[in-house]
Amino acid sequence: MAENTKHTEDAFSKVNVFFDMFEEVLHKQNQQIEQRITQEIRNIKEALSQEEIKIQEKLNPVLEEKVERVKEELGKINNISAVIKKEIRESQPEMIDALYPIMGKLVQKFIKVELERLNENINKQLDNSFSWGAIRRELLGLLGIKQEDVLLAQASQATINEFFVIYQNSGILQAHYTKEDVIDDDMVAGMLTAIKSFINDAFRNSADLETIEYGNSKILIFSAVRFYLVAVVSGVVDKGFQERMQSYMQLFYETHLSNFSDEEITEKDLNKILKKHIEDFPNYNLIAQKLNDYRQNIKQKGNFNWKFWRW
Amino acid sequence: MITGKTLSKKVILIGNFGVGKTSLTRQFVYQKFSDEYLTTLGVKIDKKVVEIGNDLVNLMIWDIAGEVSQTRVNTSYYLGSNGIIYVFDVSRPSTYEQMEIDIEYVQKLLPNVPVLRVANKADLLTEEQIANISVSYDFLCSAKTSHNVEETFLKLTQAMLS
Repeated sequence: MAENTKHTEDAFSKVNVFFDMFEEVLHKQNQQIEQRITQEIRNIKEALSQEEIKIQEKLNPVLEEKVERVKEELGKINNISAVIKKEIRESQPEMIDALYPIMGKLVQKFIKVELERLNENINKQLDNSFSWGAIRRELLGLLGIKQEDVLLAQASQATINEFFVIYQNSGILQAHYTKEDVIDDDMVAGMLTAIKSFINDAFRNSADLETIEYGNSKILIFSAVRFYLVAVVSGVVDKGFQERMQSYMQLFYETHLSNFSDEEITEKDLNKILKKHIEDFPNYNLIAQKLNDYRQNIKQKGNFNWKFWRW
Repeated sequence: MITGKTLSKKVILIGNFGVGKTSLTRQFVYQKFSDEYLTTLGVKIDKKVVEIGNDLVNLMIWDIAGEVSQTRVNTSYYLGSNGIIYVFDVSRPSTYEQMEIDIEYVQKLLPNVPVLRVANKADLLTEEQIANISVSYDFLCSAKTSHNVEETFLKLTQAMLS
């Protein structure tokens, strides 16, 4: 047993000696590799710095030449823009001729689209030639207003998109007409009242807010005692139209609101009355416009214009 | 089933800055609350339809910015109101010290209009602290927890209809 143990210990010591030798060999090899890598890196660094100097030497003259050329080109561009400005100033008709093919086409296209739209509207009106509208046009014709005028006016005039009847102080909505039921009418009535109140308070002005403009639309306001009326109109809204709209709102107020108590107004179907009133507006607008033209004619000529009447 | 009338009433919320007028309205109309404070500019209008008996009442709620004493120039916002809610912050005495003077002033503009005094931000105080408050109010509310918010508006609506 003791002999066996001694034999094993000898074997272990031999193995240890072998491992020590093996470790030493590996260590030497590692050192050599490390030295070789360090040398390689040193060589690469030296080579790179030499290459960099060579590249710089080669690039410098080329770069200087390019920079000079860019400076020259920039100078030319500055001169060109100055020349263009001068040219535009001095030869406007020529410039207009030059730009016409581009601008002219755009303007033509716009006019064409608008005329097409107008044409479509007139065609629609003509298609409804057996409607009540057509009969109305005939009646207006008897008053000396041409059918073409009626159609043209109806096709091109501003349209009422919304109409509100609102209590003056509380901002509570009493009646509403809309072409497309997309808004919260109560909230709009409240906010319009707040804006009106703010204007009155802020500027301490006895005059009331009459118009608000946004985008292609105008908000026309007619203020009475208990109520105020609001029309949201889009399209061509000139001063004449605004005046006629104000008169029409006043007419509505006097006919349906001013002489009635709150209870009586609540009992009426005011929305229905309002809708009919709005639908009748184009004819009122046209007659009022003609009457206005007629008054102005008389004023200008100082005598009756017999040509105005067809019969 | 609603068989009665539909009525519209204007309610105004007044009171000092930051007492929670907008938060109360927001909680009542949208059932929402936000800790973020955004000061109201001018006036903010909201709408809520409530059912009282057989009638539908369209409440137009005007949340008026700022303090009553400062808004004396903007009296137009008060005109035509059917009901008033005076809001104060129960945790800040400075917001209710002027309350009776403010209410008296508004009642001169709007005689016979019902007024409710609302102590808001009840969630910020303990029950003991609330019990020691020296001011009287109609409702103790919290826009944050929605405590008594609905009740306040319904009470005012009933008062406006009677």
